[in-house]
Amino acid sequence: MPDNVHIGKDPDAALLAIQAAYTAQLPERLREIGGYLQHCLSEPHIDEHYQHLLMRLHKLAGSAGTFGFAELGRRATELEILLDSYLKGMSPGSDSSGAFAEVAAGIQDMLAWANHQNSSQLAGQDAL
Amino acid sequence: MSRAPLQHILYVEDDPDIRTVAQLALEAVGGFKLRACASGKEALDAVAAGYVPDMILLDVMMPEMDGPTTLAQLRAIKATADQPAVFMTAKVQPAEIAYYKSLGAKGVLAKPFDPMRLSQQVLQLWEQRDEQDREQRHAG
Repeated sequence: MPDNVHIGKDPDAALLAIQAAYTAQLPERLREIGGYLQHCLSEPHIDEHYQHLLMRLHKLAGSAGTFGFAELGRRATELEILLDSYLKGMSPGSDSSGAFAEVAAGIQDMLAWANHQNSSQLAGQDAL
Repeated sequence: MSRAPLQHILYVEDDPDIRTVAQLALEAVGGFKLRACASGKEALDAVAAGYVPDMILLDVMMPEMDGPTTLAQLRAIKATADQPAVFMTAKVQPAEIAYYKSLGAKGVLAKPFDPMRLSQQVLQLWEQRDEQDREQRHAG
């Protein structure tokens, strides 16, 4: 549990506190995704980078909607599926840089979109 | 006749934010007693130390030990060999759901989830298990 969140007797108040904590660390989650994307682009031969990127996208896809960031979660879900398909289609020694370019462009679009919103706009777009 | 009410839930999720909000949803809203674990290993250690849940809730995609592997190892322990298990995951395409059920999961809860509805969804799956048991008894 995040250190600054305590579940008391009022679930609504606790939920607001948890949402605030998630919102505060959302930029860091997005920076991590951007960082792993850069690792994939600069060291495309290291499989671990892709797995880290997939995991971060998956976590964002699974969590953002719960905390009110439904559009961001939807975009992350699409990119997770795209990256997963790319990874499953990779074969050793194949030239798949073009296919990954599509994934990378999608992630960069999502990060740019998120960075142009402020947190309240991101959270206020739609419900689950 | 219905089984004992659902009380103790073993919950395995590596994301601390999701773990916290699920804890809120299941304890403060649902009134269940939750044992929240950050990894499959932590869950296995808890059961090995004597914890016996009524139900197991598992994230699927976790580092080091994923949900299906955790479930397989819990199934090898007597206390959790037959407890109903449910996966909570963002990976809910039809083929993925079929895969979870092939592992013995009683159901799948999709992420993202609504914290105010999660406990109802868990309870529904628990009650469905009662109905399945009744149907099996009648068929027998």
